[in-house]
Amino acid sequence: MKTNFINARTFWIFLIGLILIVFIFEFNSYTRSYYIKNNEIQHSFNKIKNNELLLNYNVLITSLYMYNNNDILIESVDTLKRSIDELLKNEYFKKNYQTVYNKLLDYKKLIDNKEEMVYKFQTLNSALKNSTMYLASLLNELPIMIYKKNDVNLNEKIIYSKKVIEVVSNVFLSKNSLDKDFMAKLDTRFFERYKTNDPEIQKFNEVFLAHLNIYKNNFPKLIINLKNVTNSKTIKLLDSIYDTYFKLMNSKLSIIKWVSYSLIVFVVFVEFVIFFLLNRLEKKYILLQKVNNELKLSYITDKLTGLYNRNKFDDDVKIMQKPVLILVNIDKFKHINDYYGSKTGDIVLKKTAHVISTLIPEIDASLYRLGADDFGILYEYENYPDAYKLAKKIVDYFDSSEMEIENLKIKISVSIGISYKKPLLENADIALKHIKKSFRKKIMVYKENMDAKKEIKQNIEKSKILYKAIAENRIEPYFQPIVDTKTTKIIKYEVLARLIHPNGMVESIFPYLQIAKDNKMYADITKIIMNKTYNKLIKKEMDFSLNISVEDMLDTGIVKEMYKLYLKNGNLAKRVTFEILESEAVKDYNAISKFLERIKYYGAKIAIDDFGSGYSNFEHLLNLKVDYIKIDGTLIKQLPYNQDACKIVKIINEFADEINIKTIAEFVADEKIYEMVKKLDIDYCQGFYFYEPRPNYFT
Amino acid sequence: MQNVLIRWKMKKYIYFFFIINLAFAQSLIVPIPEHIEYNEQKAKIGKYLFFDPNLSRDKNISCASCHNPSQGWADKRKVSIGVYGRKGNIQSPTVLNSVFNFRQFWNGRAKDLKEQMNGPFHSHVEMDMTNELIVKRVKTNKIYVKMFRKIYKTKNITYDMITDAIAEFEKALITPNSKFDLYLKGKAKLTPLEKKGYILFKKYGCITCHNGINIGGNSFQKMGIIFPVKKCSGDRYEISHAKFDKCVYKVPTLRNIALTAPYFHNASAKTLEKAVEKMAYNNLGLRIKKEDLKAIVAFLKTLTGKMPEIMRKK
Repeated sequence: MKTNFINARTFWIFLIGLILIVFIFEFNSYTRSYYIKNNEIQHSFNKIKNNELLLNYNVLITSLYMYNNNDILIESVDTLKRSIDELLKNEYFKKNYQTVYNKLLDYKKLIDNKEEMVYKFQTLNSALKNSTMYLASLLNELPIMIYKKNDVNLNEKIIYSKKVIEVVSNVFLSKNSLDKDFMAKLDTRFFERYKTNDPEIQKFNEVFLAHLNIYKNNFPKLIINLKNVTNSKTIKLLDSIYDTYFKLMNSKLSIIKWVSYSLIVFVVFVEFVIFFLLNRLEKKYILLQKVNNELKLSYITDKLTGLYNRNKFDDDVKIMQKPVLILVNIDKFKHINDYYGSKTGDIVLKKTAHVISTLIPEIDASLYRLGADDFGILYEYENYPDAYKLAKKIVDYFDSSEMEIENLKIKISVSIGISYKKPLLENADIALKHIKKSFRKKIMVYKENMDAKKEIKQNIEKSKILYKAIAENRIEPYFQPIVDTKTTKIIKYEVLARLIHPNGMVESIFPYLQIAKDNKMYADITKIIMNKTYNKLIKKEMDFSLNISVEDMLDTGIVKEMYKLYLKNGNLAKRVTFEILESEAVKDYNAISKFLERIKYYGAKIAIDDFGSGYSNFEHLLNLKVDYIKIDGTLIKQLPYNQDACKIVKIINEFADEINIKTIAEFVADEKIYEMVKKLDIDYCQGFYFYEPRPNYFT
Repeated sequence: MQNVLIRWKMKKYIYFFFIINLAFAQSLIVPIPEHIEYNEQKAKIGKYLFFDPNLSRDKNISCASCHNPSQGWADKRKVSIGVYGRKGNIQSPTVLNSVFNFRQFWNGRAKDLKEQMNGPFHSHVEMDMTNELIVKRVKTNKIYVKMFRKIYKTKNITYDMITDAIAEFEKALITPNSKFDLYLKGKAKLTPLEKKGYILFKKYGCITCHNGINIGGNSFQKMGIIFPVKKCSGDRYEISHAKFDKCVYKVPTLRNIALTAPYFHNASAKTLEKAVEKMAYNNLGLRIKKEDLKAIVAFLKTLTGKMPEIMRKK
């Protein structure tokens, strides 16, 4: 599976997340700046309103005091105007609140107007203050003017002064009450019309009238002006402008509000998505774990038998202290597969696995399938030190019972290699190989002197020699005559395969047979021998015997060749004897009996080779209708020295004689043996005492 | 939002108390500060320009021609003489402390010093210049070009830069530490006559118009409110054409008044005594007593301050 650093979907989620972060960041800074800027604007509005109120206040204060520092009023006007300009200069305000900005310009115009009114107020106020002050001080002069000695116009003067006092009091009343009614009482006509001869009073009246007129003219104007200056029109306008601004600002705030809401909604959505994804991930994880466990199990399990496999074995061995391996191998399992089919073979394996598992005592041991037909029992040595006993139990079980598979009775046997030493499997395998070499033993414990390496090296060497010999056509049939014991005349020849080394040395094929079987060269050898023998013997009148194995009988190619060369020709078929090993005949009885029947049909004869070497089964001999028995050479060799051997040979011979089977003694190497053979009445002899094998007896 | 409203209210009260305190604490007349902040480099250019006759069409008239430092930065002539001997129509007021005036010109038609300059520069009877010509004249002087580049970081001199520099110079023309200011600050004593004059100044009501830092220059008032004056050229009426504004002028400053004769817009008083007499008659309707007049004049003479610091610098 190809795994990229980031797959497309992850990339897009990452990208969207990034955009979102940037958006939130931007939104945040927008909101921040929004609040800061609007705070500024609000602050400016506050300042303007405060400044206008301050101006109004100062105007009122000025109107209150007799005299006041006009700088304060001027400063108030300037401050107000500056605060308006400050807001008008605010670029953010101008850009975002255009309508409010325009309204503020209107307000500014009103304030400019107000400024002029304030200046007018100053003019009016000062004049009025001066005149009021002056009217009061003029009263001071009045008594001095009036009370002069011997004044003829005293009455007139008193009336005049009464009028003056009345008017001045009205001035103060009106000024302090700001009531127009008192203004109406301010009658100047009397003073305007007043005529006197007194120049002093004349002058007084003139100045008094002037000030009175200033008051009369200016005071109503001042009241109106004061009302205009301090009226709430501009303040109201400012308030309404602020309200407009406030509403606008709030409407803009709603954008922020909605964005915030949608962000919350999004976060909730993401929350759900994360929950969903996590949930799915969890489920997938559980599923994955299950699959993983199954995989793990299948990794360590053999599918067919359900036992642990080699992988598990390797793992287990590592953690064991002192492991013991009992390696059970089904003998000639390949034949079962070949003969009954692999389906049956599989059932055999399953049943074998089951049987072995039931045979294992109640110890902490594991059973593995370690090869095609290899089963291993692995346990700690201390759990069950007597591995041999267990092996024997298994071997005996299979020897004493048959398997029933689909109405077929199949008998299998097993060989067992035991190893206490690592590498367990290899060592047990070596032990097994030793068993296969020696035909009698079924159980072997691995010992270091089995020297697997040397053997393997030899095997490789042998297989190379054999392969080269076959390729270079250096496999030759040799012939060893078999003589009649009584007459010592040659009655037939046994064909023996020989390997001719490049240096001309001749070697028996026997040491190479196992290698040949393991390396699929056995059939080649058989074919070569059959062909060459045929070529040599076809024109002779001699009988001969050919060695044939179970592998050959099951090989259809060889069977066809055999038929073509020897069986087809009835004359030739009568001259040929097929020699079969006793051990094979017994073991593979079912496999070979039909074949033997067939060749007998063509007139060929059958000999059992090495008879007496194994568990000789006379019943089988009868059933197979054997023509000759070749008594095992090891028995013959011992005849002069071993009473038991004599007895066995005697019994075999008697039994053969009984059922009309001719006997042949192999390995008749000297006169002593020959004497014994003669004495025991064995029909034929073969051995170096008479002839050794040679390639060329007929030329 | 709540916070802002609370702040609004709080501020309102704080301002209120502050202003009430100020109204009682602040004297009617405030001393001229000893120093005023201004850009010295700009003012230096302004100083050169102020005295430069090249800024007039006939290259004879500078600002200083009619705001003569030796005549109290005003003009002792009845009306000033402009380019080619052209006569003006109003008495030249002093430049000293003019930064403290709320408006400029007799009728207050300019809101500040910079705006004021448009008057004399463009007037046919004064300097008779155009902005372009002024810039051209200034540019011909390499020293100016160098100085302007240094401060305004540009080669391109503009009319605005020129008025800005002159205004900065004029800003520096303040006269602190007059005897009266020192008295206000508790650093000097007035003579009994002077003190009497100050009390009379208030008693007669002069103070209603002549108050604040400039002792005037902070309101518009009518000249001859009791007994009208005849000639009222250059009054507020010329701007507003409202009857109310006839003979209404910006109240002139009384600072350095002893130096700036003749007096009034029409130069109708040649001496300080005459001026006080005239004000008493026209605006109060009385003939002031001799001893009162003497005292008031003595007080007015305490208003002469120290000459501007900038003129002592090279």
